[in-house]
Amino acid sequence: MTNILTLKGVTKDFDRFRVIDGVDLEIREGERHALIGPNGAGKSTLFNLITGHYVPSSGTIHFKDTRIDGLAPYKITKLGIARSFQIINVFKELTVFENMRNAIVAKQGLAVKCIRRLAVMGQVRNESEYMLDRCNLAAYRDELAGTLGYGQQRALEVGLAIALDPELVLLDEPGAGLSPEETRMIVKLIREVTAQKTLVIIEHDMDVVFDLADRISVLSYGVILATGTPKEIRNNTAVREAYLGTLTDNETA
Amino acid sequence: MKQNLKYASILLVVLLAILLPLVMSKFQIYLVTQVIIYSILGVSYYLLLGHTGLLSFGHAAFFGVGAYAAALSLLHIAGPDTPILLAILVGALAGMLCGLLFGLIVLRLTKIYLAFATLALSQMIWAVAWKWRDLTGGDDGLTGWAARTVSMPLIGQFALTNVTFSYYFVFFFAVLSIALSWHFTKTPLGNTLAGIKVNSHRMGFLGVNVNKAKLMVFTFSGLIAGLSGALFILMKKMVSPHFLDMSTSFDVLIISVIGGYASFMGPIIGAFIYVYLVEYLSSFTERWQLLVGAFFVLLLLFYPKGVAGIIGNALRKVSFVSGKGKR
Repeated sequence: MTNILTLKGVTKDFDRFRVIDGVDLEIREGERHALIGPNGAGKSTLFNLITGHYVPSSGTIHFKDTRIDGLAPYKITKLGIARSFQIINVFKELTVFENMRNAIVAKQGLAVKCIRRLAVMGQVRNESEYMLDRCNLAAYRDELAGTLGYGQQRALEVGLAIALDPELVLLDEPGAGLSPEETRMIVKLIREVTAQKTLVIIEHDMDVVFDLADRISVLSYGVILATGTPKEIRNNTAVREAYLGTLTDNETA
Repeated sequence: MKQNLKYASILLVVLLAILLPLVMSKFQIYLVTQVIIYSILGVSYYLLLGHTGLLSFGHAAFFGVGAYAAALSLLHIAGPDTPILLAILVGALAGMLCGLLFGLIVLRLTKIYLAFATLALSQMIWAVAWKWRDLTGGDDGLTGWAARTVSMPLIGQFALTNVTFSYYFVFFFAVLSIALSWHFTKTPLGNTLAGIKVNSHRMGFLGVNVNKAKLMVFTFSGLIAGLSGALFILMKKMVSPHFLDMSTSFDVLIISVIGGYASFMGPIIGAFIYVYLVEYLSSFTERWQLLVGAFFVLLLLFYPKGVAGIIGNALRKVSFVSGKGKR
């Protein structure tokens, strides 16, 4: 199986504080890969490195055969990597439709075209409405995104990434702050819209992780502790210690 | 319905503008010509501030560079035989180049940093115009085209001193450039720029080259501002460093805020109010700036969205009363 994303020895320092410490990670084409780990482990930082928000202090990142570390976020996105954000990062003062349309315009490579009017571009409109439909947001089409309920904003957050039709999708805690019912809906949505894609997902809800993921990587203090199938991870002692701390030691002592 | 009302009111304004000179005094026509040129300039500023959220304190540079380029063309390209339209074209293109140059330099800056970088750049250009006497005439500026005529195909020859002709001439370019700017905001690029105003960070993560989009709006804004500068020297029959001065930049800012900087029509309304306010207040008192300032502060305090905001509120109330309150 070929790798779609390969990280080799990736390190990130902030003011001499090492947040990511020599991460090697291979994401296989077509898999659903979950990235888990305690708060502050560096999961979001890793996403920021992959998507060009940060430049690694050392190491390399390859998307298929293209080296992408150090590229601008928009270039990496154009290559076929799209992401959603842990903190909702939609266009709050625009309508839901306008939000989605921004993504579709970008996807169709029209974002800086300035000859024809956008309103006459039927394919943009149709595709935007189609994607809103898929994300169960059609009913909120003309509402301002900032006025939506939290669950709908989450759906839009994920929808904007998916709408770009990327080969690789990175979702940063898509279920954060959702009720169990809303979480079920968003997981169903993620399953549907990432069917033919490669997915890397950061998630704290272990039910979601073990339900969704083909493989799991565990990150702790900027280091990958283990990568493996859900079963392997469940039985891994290092992982247990990272999550449960010294509790087991205390119990045995 | 609302759309029809909009087009009807635009048509009405255009019709009025065409008919007004028939009943107005020469002085009034001259004033309205100035309003129209400031409207073009204000719209070019709207593209940056109101539409894209880029605050510039150096907009006079685009205006002034367009003005000087047009003036120098009139004096040097073919002497008295230089076609006026060519000078206007050179002015607009020079403004465009200036916009491109500013854009390249300040691209990564936002907010107050952007404002002060544009201010510094425009003051540098002002200093060049002030000091390079051989080319620009220094603080005396340039003159020498007051007696020129414009030959209009099919219509005939007109003197620049013909106030009514100047009015229609400027009005033609205003309709052209303002319609073009309106269209610009409605293209995918215009949509992208509006998105950049709301959340440029996410725009980048949608795969949009935000810097390229910003560079394009700087360039286009420079083109329109340069055009307004070229038209202004035809009306004033002179150019001076004042055209590039920061007080001119702040005039544009004040016009935008008075009219409503976040609305396309705002700067046009603002230009009207500003020109007439200055004209009438300065005929009563030398301390007119104090009164303009007081008006400005009051408006900011009570109607931060400017006169366009007041009109917008009134229209919403009317449509609400008539049962069409849904947006």
